Amino acid sequence: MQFLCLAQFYELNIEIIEMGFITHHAVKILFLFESCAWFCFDWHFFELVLLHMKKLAFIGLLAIACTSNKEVNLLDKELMDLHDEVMKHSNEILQLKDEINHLKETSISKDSLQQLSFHLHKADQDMLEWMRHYQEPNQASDTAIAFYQAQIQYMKTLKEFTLQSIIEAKNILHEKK
Amino acid sequence: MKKNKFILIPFLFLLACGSPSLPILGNRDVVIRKEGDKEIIDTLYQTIPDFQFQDQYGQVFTAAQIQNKIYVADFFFVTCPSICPRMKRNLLKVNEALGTDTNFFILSHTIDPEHDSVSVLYDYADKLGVNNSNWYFLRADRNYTYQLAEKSYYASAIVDSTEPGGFVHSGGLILIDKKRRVRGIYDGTNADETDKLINDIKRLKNEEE
Repeated sequence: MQFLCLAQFYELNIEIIEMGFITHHAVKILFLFESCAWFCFDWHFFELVLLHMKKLAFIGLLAIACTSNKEVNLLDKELMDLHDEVMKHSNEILQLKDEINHLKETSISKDSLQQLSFHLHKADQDMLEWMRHYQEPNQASDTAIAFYQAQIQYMKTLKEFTLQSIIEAKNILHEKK
Repeated sequence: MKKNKFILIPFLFLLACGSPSLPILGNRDVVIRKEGDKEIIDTLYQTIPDFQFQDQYGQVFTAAQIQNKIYVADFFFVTCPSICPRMKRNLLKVNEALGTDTNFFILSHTIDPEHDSVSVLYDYADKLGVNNSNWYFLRADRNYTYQLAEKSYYASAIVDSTEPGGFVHSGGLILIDKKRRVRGIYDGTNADETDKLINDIKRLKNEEE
């Protein structure tokens, strides 16, 4: 019976280590318990082990929380980097829009110019709207990770649309020149 | 051996005059004028032109209000989720270090005036606890603010950069002297750069006194 408990205890240790959630200190404590366990075959020791299992479980949960915190921080950085990248084009968008709106005597159709101007305006406004309503999640959780993934996807699409609108406008204005 | 003596001259100059003055950034022109028989060469430095904004109290704020004052300019927007909160934390440090000096100003220009109305700017300044100080939050048409930023405040940075544009959202803090010349651009998201800015403002004050 005692050996069975010991075997289960080992299996749990290996599982925790394999999952990669264990910290350096926790590994040390774990091995200390294990070496003691080989020499002390009485129930009192196992009561002690069971008591400490709660602490180990707590360390495990803490490690899980740290991992998702780290993941959330990385996702947050990726999102903000994307946002900053798109924001760099704000002035360019305003200038192109201004140039298009003040075009006189051009061979380009009115509809095309309106569409170009609308695309630039939409790219600019979509970013402003995003910033005005953006709220970062309060805590690291699976929901937070899903939230960031969706936001990153949106920002990537917006980046693509912004760059495409700028290229479109530049090409038409270049043709005109 | 004789040459070595000349090497000492700049060091002696530094010892005599203290730390060297801050560089003057931006474009410059050389103008030659005549005074009698003598030809005098003047350097004209780029300056920040006259401007007009609306401040967080709903009042008109013009360049006349910072005449003969040293100030720090930055560009931000209230809802900015990335660099602005860090910039504002560092600007608070600048304000704490120099805020009581009536000859020093901070001008924060919003680049989202549609959202950042007078009341939004007032509440924002209130949350930072800087209303009724020399820190002003300014708004004007977006195009106007962008042009002023890129053609005047960031003109020197744009000349030095291989990648045009994007400076308004770069988190820079721009130090302007009493003659409205750009004397330094600092990364407002970096605490060390902010400390350097505080130190340079003090140097500039000594230089101009």
